[in-house]
Amino acid sequence: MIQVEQLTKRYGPTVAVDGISFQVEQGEIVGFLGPNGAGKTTTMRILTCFLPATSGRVTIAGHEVFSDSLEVRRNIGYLPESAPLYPEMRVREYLAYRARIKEVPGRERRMRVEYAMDRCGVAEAERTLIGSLSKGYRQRVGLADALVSDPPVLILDEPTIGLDPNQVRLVRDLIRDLGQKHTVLLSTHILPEVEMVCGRVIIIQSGKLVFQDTLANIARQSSGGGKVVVEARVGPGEAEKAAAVLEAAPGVLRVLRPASPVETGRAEGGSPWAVFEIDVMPGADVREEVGRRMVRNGWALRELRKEQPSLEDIFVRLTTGDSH
Amino acid sequence: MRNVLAVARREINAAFLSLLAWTVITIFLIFSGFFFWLFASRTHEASLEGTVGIISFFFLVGTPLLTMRLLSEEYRSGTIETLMSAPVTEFQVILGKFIGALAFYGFMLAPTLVYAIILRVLGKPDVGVIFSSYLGLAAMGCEFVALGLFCSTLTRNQIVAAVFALVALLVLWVIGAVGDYLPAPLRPCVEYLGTMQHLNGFSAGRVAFRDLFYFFSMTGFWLFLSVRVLESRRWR
Repeated sequence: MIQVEQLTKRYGPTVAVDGISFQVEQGEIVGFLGPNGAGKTTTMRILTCFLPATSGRVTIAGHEVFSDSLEVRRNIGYLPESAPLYPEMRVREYLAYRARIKEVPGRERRMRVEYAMDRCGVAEAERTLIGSLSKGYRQRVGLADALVSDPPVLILDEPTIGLDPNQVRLVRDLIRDLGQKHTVLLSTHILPEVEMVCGRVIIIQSGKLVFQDTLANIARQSSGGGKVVVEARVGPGEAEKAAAVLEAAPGVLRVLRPASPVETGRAEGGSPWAVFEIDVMPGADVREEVGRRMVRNGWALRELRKEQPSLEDIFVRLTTGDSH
Repeated sequence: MRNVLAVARREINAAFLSLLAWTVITIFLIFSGFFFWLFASRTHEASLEGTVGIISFFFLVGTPLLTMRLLSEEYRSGTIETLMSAPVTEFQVILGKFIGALAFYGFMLAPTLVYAIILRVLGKPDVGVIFSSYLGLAAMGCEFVALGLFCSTLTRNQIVAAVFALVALLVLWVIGAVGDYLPAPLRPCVEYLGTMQHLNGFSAGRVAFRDLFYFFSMTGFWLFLSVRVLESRRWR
């Protein structure tokens, strides 16, 4: 549905987007991530025909962005960063205007406007001046605008910014729901949101594409290796011994003691709780063995948990050059 | 065409919701009404010639205030991005904005037809001259609005847009008079550019093709440049 090939955008000497290529298939919800200034907004502006690319090729719904720009624009709904709107218009009036300018036929216009208002939860504000709406409302009016012409492709630049937690949930559910019918490319900084909504992520850094995979793959790859956290009550002075016992277990790379027993508090009248972080070899799952060893030594186990490398870890690793 | 009308309609609505536009209309009507009364009571002539001169001068000052918003506001608030990602061409946007601003201009001018009616009731004015004067004002309105619109495409700052437009209009207003000081070959060119020379014909009752052509070519020229400036983000 969206095809980007070797897209480059230069502003004078600065390169904002540097030869990125990706595809978004029909019905996919793709998260477009990257630190501020990585080129996300620029890329989205090129996809929506607002800015021209310096080089490269972008095709949306079979139409080339540069040569067939009007046809591309008929097929997209775009929510720009910070949802710019006309403050002197009322919500319904604005959406009706947008529907008209987006060539929604007169018969359907009323229905489409009402549908968009309903879906985005702004129907009760239909007669309010946009200028007097809260940030969260305006954001959702912008989203309603993107939906109003029922375009096959939605391009949303930070759709949940400025929303309260309830509204975030509403919009997240909405986007997930829209993904069944529309193709969605959305940028955001809220990574757990991406994990909940998107099927796939694309991460760019300094204009370059640095990562691209489905969330299912990310979860699968990280199921081997990773980290196991253990919290147990060991006898006084036994913490070193416990660490050694754990380290000897098959599949364990090394054991770290991140927090001192004092920090984790002292059990009443007993010995302190100790925390161990275990780095595990790829492909190994050491949890059962760890539990067995703790019990065998008579150490009461309070927590045994596997830490999934999250999207956040991947994001931080790729965009800061820090490999832990 | 539907897109053009959608843009025009939004522009008219926005104008009627702005305090500035109503302020300009109010001051304009008080101002022109006062001068109409003054000229009529002093000269006892059933003529709008003086009043039309005043109206055209007022438009010189007032047009920048009406047109400065047109695109500058879209740039400043970022709505240009939603506007241009809708399936509209730059030409349609400019034309829609032009029509919208021109409609407002017409709305401002229409009440002054009352002066013509008053003259008709109380005296025997030359209806032909009144008609040609209004045709002149309308043609001048096209030129002024197009120029103001062009200035608004240049900057996101409304004040700057208004100042550009005012300066440009003043230059067009007085440039005809500069002609006398220039070497002979340049004189007709410079004189042709002056707005006043062309408007004078209309207020005197002469509808000349040359003058109509001047106003419509100027309008077309500024609209063309506006479209190009709006398109320029595509090749900048």
